[in-house]
Amino acid sequence: MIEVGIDPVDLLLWPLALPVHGFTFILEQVRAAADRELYDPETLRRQLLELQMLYESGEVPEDAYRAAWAELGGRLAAAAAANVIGAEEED
Amino acid sequence: MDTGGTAGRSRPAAERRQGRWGSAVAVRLYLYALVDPPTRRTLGPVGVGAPPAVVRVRPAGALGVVLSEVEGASVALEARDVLAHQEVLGRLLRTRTVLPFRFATLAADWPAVAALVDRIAPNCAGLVERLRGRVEVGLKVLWSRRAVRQEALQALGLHPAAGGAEVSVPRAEAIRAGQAVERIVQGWRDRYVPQILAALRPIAEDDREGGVLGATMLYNASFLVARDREPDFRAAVRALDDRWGDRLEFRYAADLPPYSFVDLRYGGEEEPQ
Repeated sequence: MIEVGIDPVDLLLWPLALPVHGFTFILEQVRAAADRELYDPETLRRQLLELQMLYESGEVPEDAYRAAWAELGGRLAAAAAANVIGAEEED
Repeated sequence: MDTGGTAGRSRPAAERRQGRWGSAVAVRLYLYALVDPPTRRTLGPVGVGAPPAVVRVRPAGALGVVLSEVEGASVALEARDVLAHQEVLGRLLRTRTVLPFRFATLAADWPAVAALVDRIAPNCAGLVERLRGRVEVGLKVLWSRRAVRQEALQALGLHPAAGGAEVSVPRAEAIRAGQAVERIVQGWRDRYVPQILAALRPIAEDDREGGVLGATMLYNASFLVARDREPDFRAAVRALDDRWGDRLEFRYAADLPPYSFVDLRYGGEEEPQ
């Protein structure tokens, strides 16, 4: 028989609560978005603010928050150059 | 409307500046929002970039453009710039109607901005009227772990272990417990969300449901509320909290940029509603 060792509270919330303890859950939700949105700065802005809110309200522990913040921030850095109003071809 | 007419007067900076080695360095304009009224103002070094760029409001016809300069052909935005962008909009919301640009919108130079504003101003006029004197507020409802746990224990006929020590249980039992929790949370969503909306919608002028993020979020929405009715809205949220605070947590944020009700893009096919 397969058994799992776990705190009873988390057991009862499993599988809903456990992933909150890692940042994988958030990143999986982020990845579930359409591909074109993965690097959309506006989408990333919203996700970063949501993440900040979850962290400040204690829903996401600090290590998970930092990891997800870095992941989203990295994607933002890769995405930001996208569109410039009035840019010429030389740019 | 002559939005281009302001371009020649007090141009904020050369669009190309001499670099350290004498070569021309491009200066782009980072756009935060269009605002009404368009009164000129300097907000100081609170913008995106490191160190934070000076943010200014520059009139372009009937609207003001909130902008700062960035050096280089593009801008390398970081996560903290999201907070700077939000802070800039927050400061302006107190005194003006704000139509936020999508995050990370850049312009090549001021004439390009003026031409854009000239082109989209007719569409913006209706949007400004719709938003004038109104604020966006956000509500997130989370379920209490303790309350769900209690209900799940009853449903499963289990008794909590003392001291919160780890226990070993068959995997099938854990799955059954997880499924019971899922059913409870969905049941709560079906039961409470309509009642929350029934209490809040009469006070709001519009609302938009947002996605839930995180496993413990039951509901997430933004509401457009007349500024003078915001205290009533807040009181209604507080009343909901008084009523269901033992099982639900209400997170309320007022005075948000109206992103849920404005989608200000600049492409020819994606102009404001």
